Amino acid sequence: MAISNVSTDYSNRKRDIHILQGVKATQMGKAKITPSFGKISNYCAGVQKLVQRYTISFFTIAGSQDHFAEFGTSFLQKISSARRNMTKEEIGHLFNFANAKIITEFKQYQADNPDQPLDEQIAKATLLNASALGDTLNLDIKIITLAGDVVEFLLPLPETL
Amino acid sequence: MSETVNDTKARFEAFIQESYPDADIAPGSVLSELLIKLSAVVHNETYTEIQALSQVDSVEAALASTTDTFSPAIDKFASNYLTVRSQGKKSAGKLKVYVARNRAYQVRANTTFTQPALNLNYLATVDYNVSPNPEDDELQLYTVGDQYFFILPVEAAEAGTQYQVSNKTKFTLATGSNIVEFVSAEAYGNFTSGLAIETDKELIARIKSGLSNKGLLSPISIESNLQARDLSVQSLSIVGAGDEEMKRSKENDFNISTLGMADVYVRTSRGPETVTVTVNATKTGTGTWELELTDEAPGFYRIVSIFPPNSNLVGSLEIAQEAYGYSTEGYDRTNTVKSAQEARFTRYQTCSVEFVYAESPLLNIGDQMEVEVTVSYQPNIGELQSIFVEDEERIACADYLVKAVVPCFVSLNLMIYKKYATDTIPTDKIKQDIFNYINTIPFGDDLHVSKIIDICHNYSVKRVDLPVTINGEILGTDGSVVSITNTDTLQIPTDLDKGISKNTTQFFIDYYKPDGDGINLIDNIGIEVL
Repeated sequence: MAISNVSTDYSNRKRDIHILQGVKATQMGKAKITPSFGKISNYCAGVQKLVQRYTISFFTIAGSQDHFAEFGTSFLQKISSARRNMTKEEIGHLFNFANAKIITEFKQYQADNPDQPLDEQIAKATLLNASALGDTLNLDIKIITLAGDVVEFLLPLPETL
Repeated sequence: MSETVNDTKARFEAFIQESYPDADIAPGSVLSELLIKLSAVVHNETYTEIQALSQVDSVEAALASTTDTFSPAIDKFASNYLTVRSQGKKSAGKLKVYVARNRAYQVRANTTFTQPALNLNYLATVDYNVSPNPEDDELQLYTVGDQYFFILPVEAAEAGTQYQVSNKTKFTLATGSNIVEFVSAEAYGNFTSGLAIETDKELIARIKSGLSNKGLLSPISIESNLQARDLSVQSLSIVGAGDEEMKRSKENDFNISTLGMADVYVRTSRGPETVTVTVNATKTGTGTWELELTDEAPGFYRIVSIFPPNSNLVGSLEIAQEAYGYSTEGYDRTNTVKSAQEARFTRYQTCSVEFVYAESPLLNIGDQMEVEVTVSYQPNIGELQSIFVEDEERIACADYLVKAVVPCFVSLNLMIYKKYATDTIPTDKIKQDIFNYINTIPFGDDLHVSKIIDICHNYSVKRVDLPVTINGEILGTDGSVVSITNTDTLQIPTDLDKGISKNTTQFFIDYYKPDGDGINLIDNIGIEVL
């Protein structure tokens, strides 16, 4: 579902570097997003930034950052070790645990920084579907912001992570 | 003053917020994860090094420094007195490595094992071949039931006191290391003490003591003499004429002190150490065996376990009885020792042990078998005693009896609160700092809870839950255990009948301790993070 009243006006908003190509607030339906550099640099703010933060936080393997072992989740580690033998329900189960950690951390940060715009604050994230296509596992995720915006996006996870 | 990586990160965040208020540095943002954190890790090392170097350009500056410094200027100064900075010692030990099958294995040099909770690494220093039928320098692959294991010598990745781990501490293979069909690994006995690289303060202190007289007369000269040898003397306390702890000199009909005697209490290991010795045991009845320990581990504290060789029994054989005695036989020159209690923790200590073992196949009464006995002890007690009785060094009119320091084994639990949910509390570093603090409290000093809290706050915690209860168990020279506990300051009591006082007793702490069943290990320095 597209986000209405989209603006490229970054005034009074904090900006991040945009690396998750594919999240287009004006696009209807799901958008497949993949991290990449090399395109013309741009900033992101609003729900686009929130989706990027969520994705980075969710898919960073906990313990992979020296001196910041708590950041991230163990979702990718557990998925990659047993993916071929996992059912959709098991993937959803793992997603829920990891998602709960990220949502808790984001809400803690939002409580400490209440001046964030509502469309940059997360309310909820849900795994809608997990489907395999060849060697790629596609995760269909929905994020709802405190402003009521709903974003659905597809994250492809290759077999080799 | 050094800072943690989290402190450096906070500095960068404050700078960016002030200089570029439009930049979003929330957790999970690209700026935070790819710029700030990585920069903080790199910059923190440089910052710490600059702080250390900038503090020291003279002896006075080194002594006034609030952090450990390692200045080349002090190295040059020390060389004027023919003194060289100690580069430390790596803790060493053995791992019991379990593998999946009964076949030959190869362990390459630098294969690294890690203790995940303490974040400490140990590695094999040379290539090893393991075989069920070993030749020459190959290691034996043992088979017990359906389990296969070998004993692998390892040493710590770096010099330092924090690397001393205890028996059965679990290890995993570090990332990048591989042993085919590896199952698990655990420490086989306590590791030896390590030593950190000598700081400028320690080096300067050693220069001072190096200039002093090294005769075995005064406590200072005795300490200088012993520390100059490679016998790992960490600290010592002399109890002599006029000291209430000196009882040996009063063993006469008048109960008055005759001069010329002194007891030298020494500590030669940082944390608790163990050693495993092979001893012949004799069958004395159905399922009953006896063995005698004399000079295998002079002055040992207590028996940790008894196993038949190459056994994979879970838990030690049951010890039915331990009787401590003494013997001065077999020595060219001895000290005056008249009771088992006087000899306790000295090289004259003996121990008769009766244990239970249902052997298979059955043996006859009077038959012997070898068993592996693991004891906790202070290394080099026998060697240190020899120094005081040998012709070259001894004070001819004096009787110096060397004793292992009376141990007070400490345990504690902490609950720490994070400032933010995304913070990482380095519990491994906190445990190492607590390990080093408690194991280096000098004779006469108390253990302060406030110091433990200080250690935690070096790592940007929000708070430490109070009270913090510290428990201690003192093993007296009569074999009894005295329990002490406090939430503020743990003090060594005075109980001269048990040989306990601040002049004879020191604190020890280990990372882990056996659980109630004595089979598994649980945290001895327990840290819960909320």
